[in-house]
Amino acid sequence: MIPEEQQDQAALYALGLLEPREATEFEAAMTSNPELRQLANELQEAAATLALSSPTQVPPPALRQRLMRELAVEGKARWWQSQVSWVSWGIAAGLALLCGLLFLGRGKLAKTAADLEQRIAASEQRIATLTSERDRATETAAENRQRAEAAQLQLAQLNEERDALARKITQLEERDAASRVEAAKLTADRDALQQRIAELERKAPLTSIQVATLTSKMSAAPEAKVTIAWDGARQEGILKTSDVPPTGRDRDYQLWIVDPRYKDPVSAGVFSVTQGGRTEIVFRPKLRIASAKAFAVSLERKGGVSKAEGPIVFAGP
Amino acid sequence: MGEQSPQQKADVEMITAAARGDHSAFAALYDRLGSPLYSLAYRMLGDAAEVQDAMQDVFLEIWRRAANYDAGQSSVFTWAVLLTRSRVIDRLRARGRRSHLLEVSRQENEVLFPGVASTSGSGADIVSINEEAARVRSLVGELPVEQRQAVELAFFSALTHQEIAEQLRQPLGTIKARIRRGLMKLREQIR
Repeated sequence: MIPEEQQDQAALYALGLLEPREATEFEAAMTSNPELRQLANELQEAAATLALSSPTQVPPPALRQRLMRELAVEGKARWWQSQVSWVSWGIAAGLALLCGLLFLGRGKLAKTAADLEQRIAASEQRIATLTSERDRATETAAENRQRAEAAQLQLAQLNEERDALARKITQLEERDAASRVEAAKLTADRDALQQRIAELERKAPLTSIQVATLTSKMSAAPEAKVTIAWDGARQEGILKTSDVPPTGRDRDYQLWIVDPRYKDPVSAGVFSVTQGGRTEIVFRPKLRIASAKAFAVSLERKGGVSKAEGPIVFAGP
Repeated sequence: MGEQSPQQKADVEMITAAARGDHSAFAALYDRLGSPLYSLAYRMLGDAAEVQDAMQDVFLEIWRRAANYDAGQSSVFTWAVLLTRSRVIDRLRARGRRSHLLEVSRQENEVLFPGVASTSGSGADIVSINEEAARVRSLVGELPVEQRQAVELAFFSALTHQEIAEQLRQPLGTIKARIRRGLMKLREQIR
């Protein structure tokens, strides 16, 4: 029966918790007490099973590959060491033989000694060569490992760049598609306007038709446009809008024609836009216009005003 | 060592072959022991990158010292676990992670049985290890709480038994007795 105090020692020994001096004393006690040794061994086995109570983790596959690579490098190094070791033994044997021969007769064996010295020198040379080759092999392996790691890193970067470019291409394709739609819309507008001009031309001489494109002064809608075709002979025109923002319930856009004959611009009526910023109206100014030098659109209260009060939101040509 | 199980015999064959320089035998041994040793190191170090470095060192040491393994002293599993634990403790001490250890051990006191992490491994070795791990968790769970606490702190931290006594605010003799009783009970259960 093992005393309780020794059982405590055995448990602490199994867990590596004894101080070095205590551990040495305990190991000495075990040599003369097989029962105590068996207890310590069994407690070590029990302690080791605690490792299995840890939450299970699976090592990454790269760790196994790295380890096996390391083993391959170490295997080569071992081989070189074994070669060097054999050569060393060869030298020792050569020296022993030399000593024996010298003992038997130094005079006669002088030539043999010289030969052996040459062989020793050659062996030493061989050792130096093998050592150098071993060092080179180790260095090469380390360099190859570094290169492989660098290549993997570069590959990862390239993959990231490729993904970023693919995202950019998708964005550009989307923008391109939107631009095509916009271009088609503008082309349709232009065609419609040309058609109307053609109609007007049929009704009146072309020389009396004046076309003006009014550009937006609104920072919130820089793409908005108002196009006007003015027939001075008939004293009427067509106004067409695109992408013009709605005015809200209590306001209207009001068209003005600048004629040098009048001190103030002449009102040509009010208009509002539908959803999508489009509208098309036929307008007639309040006064006869002799020369339409410019057109402007202001934002006014509902129904319009006799003299412009609100901000000018479009002007041209 | 008592009579060896078939798995223990297979382990001895693998390490004997590895001692002769057989790489494939060593790879098989890695497949068998990799997950439990990695799990142990991860629980003690808590940092994946450091655990990988530690495991590389441990397995290289197993490879180099395979010829020194004595089947009469312990099973291959026990030998490898104690080697891993020893190297991990060296790392913790060398890197001045004492405060980390104390924190980890405190956390372990609060959660004595953390949940089992999901694994992505497969194969007979992992299945076998998982079954064995479940059995061990169940056996450890059957220990009285105070014994389990003392044994787990003693095994998973780099604390001395005096430090364990201080942390659990118990006399040193009580801690020694709890460790002894806990380990003895575990030994009886796994027999």
